[in-house]
Amino acid sequence: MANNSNLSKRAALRQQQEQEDRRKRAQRMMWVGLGVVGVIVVVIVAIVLSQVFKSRVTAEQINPPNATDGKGIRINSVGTQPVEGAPHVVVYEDYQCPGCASYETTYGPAFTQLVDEGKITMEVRTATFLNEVNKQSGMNKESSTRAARAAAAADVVGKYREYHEVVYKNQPKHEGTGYTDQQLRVDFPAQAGITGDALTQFQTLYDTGAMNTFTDAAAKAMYENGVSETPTYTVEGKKIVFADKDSKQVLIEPNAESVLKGIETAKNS
Amino acid sequence: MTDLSAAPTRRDWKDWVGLIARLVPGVVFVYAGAVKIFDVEGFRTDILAYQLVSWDVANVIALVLPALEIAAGLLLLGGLFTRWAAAAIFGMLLVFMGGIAWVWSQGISIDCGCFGTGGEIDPSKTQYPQKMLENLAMACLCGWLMLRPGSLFSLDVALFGLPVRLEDEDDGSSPAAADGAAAAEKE
Repeated sequence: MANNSNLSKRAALRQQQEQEDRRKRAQRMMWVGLGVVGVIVVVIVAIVLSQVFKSRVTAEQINPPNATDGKGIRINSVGTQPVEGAPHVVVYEDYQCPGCASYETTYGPAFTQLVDEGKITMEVRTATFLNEVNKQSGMNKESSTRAARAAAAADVVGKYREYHEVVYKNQPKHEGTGYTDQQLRVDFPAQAGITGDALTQFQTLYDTGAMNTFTDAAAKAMYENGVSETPTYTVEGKKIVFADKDSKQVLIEPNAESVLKGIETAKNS
Repeated sequence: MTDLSAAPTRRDWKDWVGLIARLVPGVVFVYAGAVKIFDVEGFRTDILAYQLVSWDVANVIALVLPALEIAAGLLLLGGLFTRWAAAAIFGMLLVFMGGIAWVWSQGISIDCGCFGTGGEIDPSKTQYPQKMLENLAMACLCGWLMLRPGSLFSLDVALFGLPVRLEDEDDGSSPAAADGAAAAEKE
């Protein structure tokens, strides 16, 4: 009997000891676990804050004077007023998109002619998703974004239309090469006729990142509008079709008359 | 009291498998997170290329996911909270596979954006089957660890020791081997 009770006492003691060990272990795991979670939370908060400050350290954010509600920039006519009820064309582009450059070369003059004749109004909304090609090539990172910012800054000094054209004229042959800061803030404005005080103002806007909020909002708006391809030309939300996708048959010739007809067709479709 | 010196050797082949199952996804995830964590905007663009989530959701993922990848990867490398870290990576891999299946089925041609480059690419350059297999293989390794988290050189054992098993739930095996035993029973 004595032996037995001794045994059960020892068993109880051992059990107590084990329970104590287990509690201690659980407690140790809890503290280490809390520490790990704490570190992860701190790191994530740090990343979020660094992103917030990255966009805050810059100068006061301004909108281009010809900005539209849809985060585009209007192409102004030279001298004329658009006629009553002129169709409004919205173009979605990315400054690094080769297709956009070829459309600009082919159809650009016809569109600007129509704008100047007051027969249409037009705005350009700029996407930046082709920043990807710079990551793939490792060259001139975020060229689409930087070009978009520069073009928006050009609008502040009244040269959006010219600057927009110059960028496409100078688009590198190989997609991914991108644009250098030298090109965007010195060479292109020179070709677009931005000089003197206007040039200083343009460069300040570019360097301080004053247009960043606008260009980011433009990229966001484009994504949210479900436009995943550039170039996309639309009129009142309807896509203008330049060539038949399957037969490759050209539906719109690169002249003002044919382009206007194409716009009307799309509008009434 | 159990004499720890009498515990069976833990240098069991299963512990070696556990070590490999920790190292492979661990290294991959730490690397994948590290190349993306300093390029939030770029990673956001990669996510948007899937055409699956809204801009704001993509933004949140771009801010949080790289940190989670690094954290889970480091935990797995160190063998700390092995089962939970493996479960976290397993979950992420499932989401990634879902994303790849989505773009594959939709005929969207993109680089997966897994390691810092992404976006639209030539359809002939997509690697969907290969990415699926990679993710599946890592998911299997994580699955192993979720069932049997025991492995060599883990912080779990170094910091917490082996699990303490109570007398009344002892199934006869030595408490020292209990770490693996619980999992072994399920196998």
